[in-house]
Amino acid sequence: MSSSLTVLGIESSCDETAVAVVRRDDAGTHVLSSVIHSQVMQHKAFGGVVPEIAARSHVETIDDLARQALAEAGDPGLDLVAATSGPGLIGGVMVGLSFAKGFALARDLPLIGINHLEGHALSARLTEDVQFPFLLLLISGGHCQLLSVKGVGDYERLGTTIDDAAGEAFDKIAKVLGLGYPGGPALEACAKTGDASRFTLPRALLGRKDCDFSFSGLKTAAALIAHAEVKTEQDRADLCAGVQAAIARQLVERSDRAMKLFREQTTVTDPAFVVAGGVAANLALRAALTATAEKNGFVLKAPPLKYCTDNAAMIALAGLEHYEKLGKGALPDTETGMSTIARPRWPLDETSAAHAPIHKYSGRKGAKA
Amino acid sequence: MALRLVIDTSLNACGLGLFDSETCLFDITEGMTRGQQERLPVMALEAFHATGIKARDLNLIAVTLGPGSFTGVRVGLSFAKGLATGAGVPLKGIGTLEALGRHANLQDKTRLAVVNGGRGQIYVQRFPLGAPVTLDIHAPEAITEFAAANSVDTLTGPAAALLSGYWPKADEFPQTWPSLDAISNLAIDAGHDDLTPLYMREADAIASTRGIISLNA
Repeated sequence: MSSSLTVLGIESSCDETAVAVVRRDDAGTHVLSSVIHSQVMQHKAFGGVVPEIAARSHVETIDDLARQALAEAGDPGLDLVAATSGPGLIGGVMVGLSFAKGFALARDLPLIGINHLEGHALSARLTEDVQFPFLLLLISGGHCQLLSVKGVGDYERLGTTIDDAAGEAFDKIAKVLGLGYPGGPALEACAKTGDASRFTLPRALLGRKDCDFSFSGLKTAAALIAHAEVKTEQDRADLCAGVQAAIARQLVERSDRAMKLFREQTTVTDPAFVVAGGVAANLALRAALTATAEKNGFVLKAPPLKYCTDNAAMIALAGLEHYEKLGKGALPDTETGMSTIARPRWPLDETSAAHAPIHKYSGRKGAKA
Repeated sequence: MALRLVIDTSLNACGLGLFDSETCLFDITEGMTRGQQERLPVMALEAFHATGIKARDLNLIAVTLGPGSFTGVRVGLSFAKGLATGAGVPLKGIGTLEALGRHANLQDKTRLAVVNGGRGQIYVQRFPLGAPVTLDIHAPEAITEFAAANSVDTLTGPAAALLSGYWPKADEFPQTWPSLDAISNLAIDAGHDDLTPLYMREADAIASTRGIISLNA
């Protein structure tokens, strides 16, 4: 019997408003449309994402984007609406989620609130049949985590950042160095002509043997060096190269540990090491991580860039995978869907997040992700 | 049939009504300073269940655009946009001050709708024929001047009491939030196609070059 599921996905948790339509049928998974409105130009003047500006932009663009995504997909019949309901900038999350509720109610469709991180976790499956379990390194401006992805809805967090994300470090150090916003790609370009060994930068959490990350000390150290010693283009290139190498080293060290942990948990041969998130676009990092994967017998897979950065296709896919897993009868009823809450903080693996010593609380004081 | 769904989450409330021409088929309003995101869609579901009306049966949806709570306005507008897009129904925006001024009991009076914008900002609109204006509570001379030029019979809206001293002869008509009936009536003849929220204030953000190094020329 042939089966087909078509899902509308909505994403608005940071500075990208996105709507997508994804279908899975016997022939595979198809992204019928994926439209994204980036707010980069609106935030550029401020050197980072301003939550109130982001929320204002989301509400002004979301309906046009939805109409565009539906039209590009050929106005298909839909089975489900999936919207990011956290974690993220709450003003933006509420816009996408509220829009999704209205749309689902109008079309008499079930609604599922999706954890943004789950979207990233499953994003590689948009274009490739990546088998569970796999190891995921999520590196973006807002998140930095290592997750063992055992199946849909079954995630174990092996490590996370205890302060800033890797992308945050890239962007904010680039900002101090006058490279503009978003500075990650500019920093990577600048690093090409630099000497990574010139400046000594701190190595975080050396005494710990877990898979957690820390980048705030690197941000401070780089800013101090920038002000004291960076006077020429070459100085700047050298610091960029040093920062990129420091970030790469930390990502490699923790990924290496996580791969060994993952190996203890499973007997899969040639497991996938999926690298997702906007920072995965950095080719120097990707080369370092590829070498680590090969050393440990993993196969590195990175979704295409358009599905690495924030997008709604991955949210639609996460909804689709839940629908397939639950079956139509077990989906949340309309009232449950309509009461879905928006969560600024929502760890994908609540058990691990609650056990981390730095997160003694849950809810508003608890772990972000 | 002229079926209208009206939504207001712009002040400290969550309200939703279904109207057929002048007749109210269903209405519900609950006072709340937060939580509209969870409550409003359930209210809509209840309204559709109670009346047997479906979203695609609607002829028009109307939603308040503020000024008021930034998040409240966005929740109501986003939900209304979702409904309108999903059902293919036209959507109109209604100014919150306009809705306060449109109250059925005030139509034969000159009136001033007053909303507190916080940080000393008071948003007012005089009816008939006024435009939204920002007054600064810390600039009493300017308010006195505005009052002299804009006589009114009645002050209304959640912050009317803040300005009563400037219009000593005016009476006060209390309204904590706009009536759904007023929004419904405005939707017929004075709804806006421009759905940009009326924030009346720029986002808090200052462009700064502090902390950014400059290289030697």
